[in-house]
Amino acid sequence: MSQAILSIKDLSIHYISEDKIVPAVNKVSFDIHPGEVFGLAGESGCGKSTIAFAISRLTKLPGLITGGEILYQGIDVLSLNQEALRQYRWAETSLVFQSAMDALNPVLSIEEQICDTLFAHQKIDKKQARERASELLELVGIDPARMGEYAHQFSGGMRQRIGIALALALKPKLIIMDEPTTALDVVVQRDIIEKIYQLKEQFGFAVLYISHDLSMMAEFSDRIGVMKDGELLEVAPAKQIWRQPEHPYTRQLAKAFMSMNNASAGGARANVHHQPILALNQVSKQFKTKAGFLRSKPFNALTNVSFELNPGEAMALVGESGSGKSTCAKILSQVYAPSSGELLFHGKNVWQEKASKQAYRKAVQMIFQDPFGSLNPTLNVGYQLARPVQIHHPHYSTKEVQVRVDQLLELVGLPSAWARRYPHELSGGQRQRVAIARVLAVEPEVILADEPTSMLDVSLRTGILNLLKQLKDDFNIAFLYITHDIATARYFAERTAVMYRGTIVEWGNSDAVTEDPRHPYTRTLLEAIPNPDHHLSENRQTSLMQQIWNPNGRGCTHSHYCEGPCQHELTTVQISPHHFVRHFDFGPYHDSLKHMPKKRA
Amino acid sequence: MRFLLTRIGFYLSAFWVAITLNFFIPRWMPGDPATHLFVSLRGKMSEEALAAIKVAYGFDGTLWDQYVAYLGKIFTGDFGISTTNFPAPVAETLFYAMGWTLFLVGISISVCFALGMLMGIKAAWGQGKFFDSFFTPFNVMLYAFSQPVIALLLFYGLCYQLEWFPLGRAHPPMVIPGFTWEFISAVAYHAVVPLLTMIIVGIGSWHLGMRNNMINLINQDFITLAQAKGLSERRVVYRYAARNAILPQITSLAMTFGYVLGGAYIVEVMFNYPGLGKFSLAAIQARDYAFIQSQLLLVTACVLVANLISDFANVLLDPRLRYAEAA
Repeated sequence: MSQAILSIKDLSIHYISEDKIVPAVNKVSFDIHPGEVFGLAGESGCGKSTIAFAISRLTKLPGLITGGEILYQGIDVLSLNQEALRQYRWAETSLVFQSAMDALNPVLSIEEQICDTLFAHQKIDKKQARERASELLELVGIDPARMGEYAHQFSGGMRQRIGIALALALKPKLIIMDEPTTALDVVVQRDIIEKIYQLKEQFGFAVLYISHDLSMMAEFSDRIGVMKDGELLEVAPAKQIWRQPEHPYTRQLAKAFMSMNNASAGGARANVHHQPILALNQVSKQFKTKAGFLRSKPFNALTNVSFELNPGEAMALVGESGSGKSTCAKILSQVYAPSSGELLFHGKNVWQEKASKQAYRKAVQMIFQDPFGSLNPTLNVGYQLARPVQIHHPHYSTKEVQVRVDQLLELVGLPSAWARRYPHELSGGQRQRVAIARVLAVEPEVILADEPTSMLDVSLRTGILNLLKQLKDDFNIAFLYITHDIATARYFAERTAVMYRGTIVEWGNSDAVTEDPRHPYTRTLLEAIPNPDHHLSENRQTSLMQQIWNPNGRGCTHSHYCEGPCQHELTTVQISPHHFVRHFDFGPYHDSLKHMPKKRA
Repeated sequence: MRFLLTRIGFYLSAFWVAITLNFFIPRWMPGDPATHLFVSLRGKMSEEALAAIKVAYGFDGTLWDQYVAYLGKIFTGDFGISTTNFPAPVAETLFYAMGWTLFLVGISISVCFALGMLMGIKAAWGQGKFFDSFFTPFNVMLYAFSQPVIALLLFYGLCYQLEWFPLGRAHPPMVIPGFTWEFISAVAYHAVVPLLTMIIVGIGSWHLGMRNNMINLINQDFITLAQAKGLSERRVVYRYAARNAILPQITSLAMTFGYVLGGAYIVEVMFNYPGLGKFSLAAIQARDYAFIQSQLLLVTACVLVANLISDFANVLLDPRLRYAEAA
């Protein structure tokens, strides 16, 4: 094998606080070869990002590099002086951060942020810098005419593309990518990863790809290292990690993805129920957006959305951010009133019968995405569970409340002694379990779960979803599961509805929707799911998504996919008894697949 | 552009509300100033004289007539005659005094803002190091001492005991105001101790504010990215960190401007400085309604203008506000 471009030997990093020293990285060694994609996988807190920062010597207190060597092409990075370090940074190894939102300075234009990088390392004039900046933006598919604009004027995916352009600025030989797509929708994630791969082929840089998502990593990387608690457990070629993992932890990690991607929740129950608990009937929601002085422009967040929730059954609402799925949840939880259409609770229109509001609140409960924000940090778990019990059972004695709290904790798999703990003493998964227990306290008929697992590590996701499944069956609860991940939708929910730009475009039994997708957007979503059995280098046929996905798309509901004039009179087509799709008409230019793709930069 | 016009519209209506309140409040109070004068003279004044005084104070005719006349006078700069500085018109005294106050406040705020910011930046960037652990508590301590204490200490030490600086006034009475070296140097010499007082007390809040803003920013990804890009430390600190940390400070600057216009009272009275504070105190003691009213109006106008400028500055400095209407 060729000479390693970066070799890390026995690297140790500790976190120093006044009373203790915590190891974050413990004697980690690995090499990265030129042009290679090296994946570093592990769950949050395992030390993988700490290593990424150490390579550019960005470790900040309380973090301290306590031992080992980082050799970049024979240069000892840890012994560089300040000026040599400054020159080494970015010119040799550059970084792409996780959150494209925060990685750009909000008050400097994109142009200025690319140019200042160039000026810091090269003797060039303004004109040359501008030319290079527009060249870079063109490479990643951003219109160079927009380089005078600021970060907030771009979407998340576009900001990440800008981040990549920035990383390429000085033609480094190694680019470190720390969860580059984690905050993005699946389709955008796929788009970015493919773009990176294409650029890598073109320029031949090596990539250190850091992620918790083993399946995406297996598709993208050549070799993968798996980390746990600051230790590197095993390093092996990507396929081997996925197919024959050696270390038990890796096996467990791979299994978590496996089960998620392949299992199915089974079909919808036969029509035994007489009446749905909760139903949306032709609901639309308009928001007014500011369009200037005293003028407003209506924005259609939801257009004629109908679905129903049945006891003991889960329905998944799948879509990208901005598709209207959270607006649905807010209408169901009565945060928003629908602009038109009705919300039926046991067949009665909720917005007309104010008296039933308390009953409705009790019956319909919500689990939030962020387990760190949804629990009050100043109150202990027991109190936060006791309050809803007291409110809904005012006649309970203190003893009875206590018994109920213990029972709730047991239901979600936590020891009852934890009632005395405070949220900061719990991990993300444990907090989410407390949040679920709190919801159960009022014995709801319907639970709205808004991305309940997206902020958790993958190994915890299965546990939470299995818990919710169990509760659904035991208590005959109806679930609305909101997610951007169609794979977990199938795992958890019997029925799936795919939302796109405020309408439901395809719905039916989860199996039918995922195995025989008809709408182009559903197909795009399914193609975007990481497939660890196909390495990017093997799969060179242009996917449907590559043809139709346009990152600059705006405007009409189908602008991501077509350029034709808007004439979308959408009608519903029934595919099978439990599978429906909105008929999609892309105008005279194209039929469903062979349409005219927008020009890709 | 539309945003700026809306803001200007907003401030104009705020000013209108202020002058209208300023008109009605004295009229809602029992008895007008002329009657007070009439009563206090215990019948030594004739009915005709009372009527004449009422006319002079603008208390004749219907309320509407009075209001229209009042507005007209404000916009022609006629604020009536001051009783404390009789027969000088209020406007003359007011603008004379305001000049001195703006001189003091303008210089002290600029220096405080600049120094406090630089110190805050340095303290935040080297958080926990010597500069931070010494100057941060020190500046906050001086801030807590407040103006009267510092003013007294400096007055006693520098002016009275050491006799390095004059005991008061803006310039000696015999120096004729004008654009001469003699006048300018005299003014500068007399302003040293009052300015020093205001600056010593003022730096702390800017230092602390800037330091806190900076510390919140330092762990942001874009700062780390800027360092990773190999930019010089200067550029990271000023263009990336401080450039963002300054935004909330601009708003506080406008708010402080109004506050310090009031705060200058202490220094002015202490050092017998001919600013708004000194004249207002005299006017309040002498119940010089015309002067107090006009002075209030002036401070309101200044605060509104300062806020307007800070709105403009924010839009200029923060592109997120600039394009908010377009999105």
